[in-house]
Amino acid sequence: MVTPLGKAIEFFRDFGLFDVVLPFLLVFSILFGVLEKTKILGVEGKDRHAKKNLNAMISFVVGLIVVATANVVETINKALPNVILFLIVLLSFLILIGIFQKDEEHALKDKHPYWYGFFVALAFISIVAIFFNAIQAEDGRTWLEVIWDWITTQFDTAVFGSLIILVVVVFAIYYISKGKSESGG
Amino acid sequence: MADFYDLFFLLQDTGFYELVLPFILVFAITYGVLHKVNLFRKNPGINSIIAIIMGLLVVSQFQIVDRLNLFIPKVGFLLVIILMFLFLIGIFQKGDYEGFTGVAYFIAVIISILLIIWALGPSLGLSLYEIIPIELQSSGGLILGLLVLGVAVWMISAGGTTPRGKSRSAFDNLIDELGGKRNP
Repeated sequence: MVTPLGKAIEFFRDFGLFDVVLPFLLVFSILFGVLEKTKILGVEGKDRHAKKNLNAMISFVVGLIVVATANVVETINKALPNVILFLIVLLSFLILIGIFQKDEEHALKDKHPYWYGFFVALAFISIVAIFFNAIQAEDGRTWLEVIWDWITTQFDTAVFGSLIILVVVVFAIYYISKGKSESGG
Repeated sequence: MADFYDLFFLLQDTGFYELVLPFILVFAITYGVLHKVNLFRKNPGINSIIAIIMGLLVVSQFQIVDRLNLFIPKVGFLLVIILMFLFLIGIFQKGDYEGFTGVAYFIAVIISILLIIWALGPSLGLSLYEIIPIELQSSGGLILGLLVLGVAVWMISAGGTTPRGKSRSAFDNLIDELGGKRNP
């Protein structure tokens, strides 16, 4: 990338912005926000606000420890852009189906609960797959490749068949018990 | 004399399309989603910090930016096509546009999913043609014909009756749903 802005990005990359500063800031801000929100470490003062200094200190330390671990930083840098790409794809899809809807707030969960459930499951599977694809095993393959290889090689074995039966049985028990509880049984 | 083409090429040469626009897009979407989810209620500033970090991380990955630049124009193109379709439908309708409902909405969602896969295809190296197994591809005409026949039979035979006892086919219902009406 030879454009002036591209050179700026290269400069920042050499400087370590993407490998050190941004992952640190990300972990720090998320952890600080969660600690402030949940008040896990207790409250202080008359207005019972979270212990900001303690939260900041813990977030700072954890952020530094994370950026010192090369594997974790690499995983973050590899996975997050793909998560954003997935987010943009989902948003594009919502925009596309939004054209077919009435002029009102988009409420997939209320109006189309089955589609909502489908997309929640899809989002969960996709996020897990993206992160598994970013984590490398000891043999150089990603976790996703390891799992996929295991599925494709074990597909016609007793282990895989047993797992499928187990899932079906659990689903059947859940479905039957749910039906009973809904009908007052 | 400089014209719009010069301006366009100047922006392209400076990396405006490869860095600035993707950054603004990712920042805006991430910030919007975080603001909507409202995870950090007491510290809304964290939303903007996370959005900036996400934007910078994305533009640092040239491969992702390339995928975005391939994907987004196609989505814009699809939007125009769908809008033209609705524009044509709108000619025959009376009153305001009420959106699709029922089966028509279901079909719209399925078509939207297929279109998104098509738009993503070149950037992810997959195409709709590759997803369909070879066995099905060879007998695609037969399957398509049976599908059309099945849909036609269903449209005519399925349906129901109105509260006044008048019979309605699934085709009648579908036409109503295209206009956003609930089935009577």
